[in-house]
Amino acid sequence: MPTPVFLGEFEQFVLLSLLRPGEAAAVLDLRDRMEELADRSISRGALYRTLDRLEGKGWVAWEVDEEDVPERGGRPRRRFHVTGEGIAVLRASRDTLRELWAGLEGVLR
Amino acid sequence: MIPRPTSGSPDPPGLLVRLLERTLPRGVAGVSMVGDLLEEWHRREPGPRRALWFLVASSGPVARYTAVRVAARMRGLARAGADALRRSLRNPGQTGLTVLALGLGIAAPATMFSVVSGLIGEVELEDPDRVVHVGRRFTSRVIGIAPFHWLWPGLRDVETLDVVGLYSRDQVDLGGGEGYAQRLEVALVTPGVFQAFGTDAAPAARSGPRTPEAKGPRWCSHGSSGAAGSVGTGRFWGARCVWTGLPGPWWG
Repeated sequence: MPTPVFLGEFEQFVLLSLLRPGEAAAVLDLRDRMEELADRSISRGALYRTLDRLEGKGWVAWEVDEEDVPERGGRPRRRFHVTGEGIAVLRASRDTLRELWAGLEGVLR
Repeated sequence: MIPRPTSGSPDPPGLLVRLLERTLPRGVAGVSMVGDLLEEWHRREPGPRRALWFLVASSGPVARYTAVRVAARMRGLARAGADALRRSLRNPGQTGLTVLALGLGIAAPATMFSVVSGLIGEVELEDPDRVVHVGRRFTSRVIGIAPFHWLWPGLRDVETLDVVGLYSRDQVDLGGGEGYAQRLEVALVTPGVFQAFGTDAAPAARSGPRTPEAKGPRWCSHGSSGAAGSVGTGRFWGARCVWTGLPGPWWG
């Protein structure tokens, strides 16, 4: 039996939002997307910290957007995407949750 | 949801942006965070609410990364302290030697100054912040006096100086009472030095023999001997204080 994988709720939310169809997301776009999906406000600090943590684990990566945005005063923009390892972790987490849910449909109805 | 871009709006306060750039991590990650904040600033409607938003939004990362840096520095200090303690315990001989050297280094000057202080008494300055030192180093004993001739007229006319005292270091050989000579490290000072210190004269000057024929400022030679057994006896403080009249046009 594979080792159960438990992802934090917010980590999972960030990873799933990044996987939504579309190009690799900049932080502001990702935050827009998450607020739209969850219909709640997303803390900027929590998002940056989570992205840093996920990057440290190797589950997300980023590249610099070459587009020049005058409002940014020449400062680069990072675009994030989920790595193959991140996708594998999400899949394992989903399997773990499915096993936990199995047989409880009648109780939770 | 973040509002759509607003064109033609001014930039956020430069001071806050600079503070962010100094605080956030160096490299693309930190710089892009500043860029994200600027981009969001331009997406928001201009007005005081936007200024308040930027203040709050920028203070969060500043506080967080300042705390991170301080914590990292504290960890570094703690590691260095622990490492030093470990090394000290590993090599107690060297540690003892170091402590001894440090102790002597601190105690020797303290002892020396307390002896000197005991000999000449506590010199309490009336206005310590007003005492200034002007000087040059002369190597020749003969010339050691002569340069005052050049300094004196200039110093005497400086209106910002209330009192001018001159001094010169010297050595004096005194015949010892037990058949050997003592070489004393002395300082030749004018009464102005004591006036500058807010005291009328040093103990040596008060008790020393005077030469009535001396004119103008007189030199008092006093000091402590480097010979063992002489320091602190006070034998030559007073009785062997040499007063010398220095005739010369520059002393007035």
